Amino acid sequence: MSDEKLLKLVKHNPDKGISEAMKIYGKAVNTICRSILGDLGEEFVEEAVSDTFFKLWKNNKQFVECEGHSLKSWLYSVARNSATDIRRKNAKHILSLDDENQDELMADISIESEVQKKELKAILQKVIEELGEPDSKVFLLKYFLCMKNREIAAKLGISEKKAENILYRGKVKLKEKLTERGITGYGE
Amino acid sequence: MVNDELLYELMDEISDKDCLIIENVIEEVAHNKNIKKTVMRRIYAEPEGRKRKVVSIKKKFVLAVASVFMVFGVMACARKYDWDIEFAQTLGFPNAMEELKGGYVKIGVTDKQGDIEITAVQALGDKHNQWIQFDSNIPWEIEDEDNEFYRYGKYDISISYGWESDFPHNCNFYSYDNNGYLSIMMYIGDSMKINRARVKIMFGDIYKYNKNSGEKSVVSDGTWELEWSNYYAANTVKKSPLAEVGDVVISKVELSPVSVHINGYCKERNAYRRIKIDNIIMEDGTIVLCNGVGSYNSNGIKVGTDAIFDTATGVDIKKVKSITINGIVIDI
Repeated sequence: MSDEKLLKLVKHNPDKGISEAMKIYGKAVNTICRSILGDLGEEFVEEAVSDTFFKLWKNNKQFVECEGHSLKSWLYSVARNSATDIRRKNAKHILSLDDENQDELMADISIESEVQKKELKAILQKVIEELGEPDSKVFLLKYFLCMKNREIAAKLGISEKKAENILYRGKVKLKEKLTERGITGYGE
Repeated sequence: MVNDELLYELMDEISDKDCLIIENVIEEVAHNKNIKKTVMRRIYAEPEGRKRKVVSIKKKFVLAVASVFMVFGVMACARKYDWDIEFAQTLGFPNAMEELKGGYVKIGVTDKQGDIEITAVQALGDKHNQWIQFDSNIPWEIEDEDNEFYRYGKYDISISYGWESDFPHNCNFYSYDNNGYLSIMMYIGDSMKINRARVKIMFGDIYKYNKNSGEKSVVSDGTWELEWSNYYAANTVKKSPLAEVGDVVISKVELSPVSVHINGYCKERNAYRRIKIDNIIMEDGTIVLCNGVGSYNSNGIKVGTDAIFDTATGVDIKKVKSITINGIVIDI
């Protein structure tokens, strides 16, 4: 079923539309939410999944289809952000609590505007692309799915140390790129 | 180095290419089916969601059927008798009995004994009363019209409704000349619901009788049995004149082509009462005499009074001007 058809179905017949959307994307949405909230309990995972599909009905006008960004990527992003919102409300930190990151978590950062955020996103996307496989996967699992290093290692069949190194290299590269563009103040 | 929190914030959306990576790590954990119910509850809790709620085809079908039954239920309550016929006609099913001229319905059942053939041709009636015309191939050989007529030596009638049955107490036969052949008009009155009944009539030993001389001449000693199922509309219209006749309030008059039913309520006795129906008067002044019989309501309990019209043809119920009850004329 095309994105357009699914959205029309959700709009005109929510019961059937949501069923269809859950059939197509349910497992992935569940995986995303479980990855971020699994340690807090099943009820939080279910809340995030239901939030995601509710937003598919309620906020689907926010979805603008463009090249490389289909309804699927929008929905997965909604799932991820719903889960992180719930985590923020119910836990101290939104991210995995690897010991080695504790100091970094305490860093005081802020993004001043949506424009700046967009710019930073674009740079990050470029850096991740340049990292190539499997580094880009590690970054995605770490910062989109909020997985712990050991989980990433297990998923990708690499050592936990290697995962840490990949993340470290990536962050260094990102900092370099940001510095090249005169963007500073986002690191230590 | 760039801190993690910034990266978590920046990576809040992904591309289709990234989706493939996510899909590679999908866990085969079935989500709770109640999640969908939760989503739908939230959607329907929204004002917009209530508007958007679309009734499924299945529900539409159920609602449509329920509506049809409701409509015909109302019709059944309003007309009391014929909702099943209305329903059948609406669905495109033809009536079991073909309607003929003058409000008659076709029977068309024949029995032959030897050379003599008797046919139940047609009927005119309402729920409790019916006129049935029988034709024969017996030549009409009456010389003294005032004193001679045909009669039968054997007779039986059975009226059944599924497991129930009744034997009507008001049955009469009249013989007449139908283009040179004997025809019989049978009047059945006071039946419970003859318009939905299985009717079985047997008569035999037909003879010619002279009431002056008492002479009998046997026409045939055969026996004819005719059986059919009635299925026709009650053909009634209700009027509510709310007139008073003595101490009886006439609350309802129900007319059919062959009979009239009235409900007369006696305030003093706090009960329905039978009352004499004299006649009906047509718009053109024609007076049609009435022969009072018993009465049934829909539960088979006698309420009010029924009377069969004393006429050779049915009455056009739309042209009845008034009814005379116990000598008092009431416009209807």
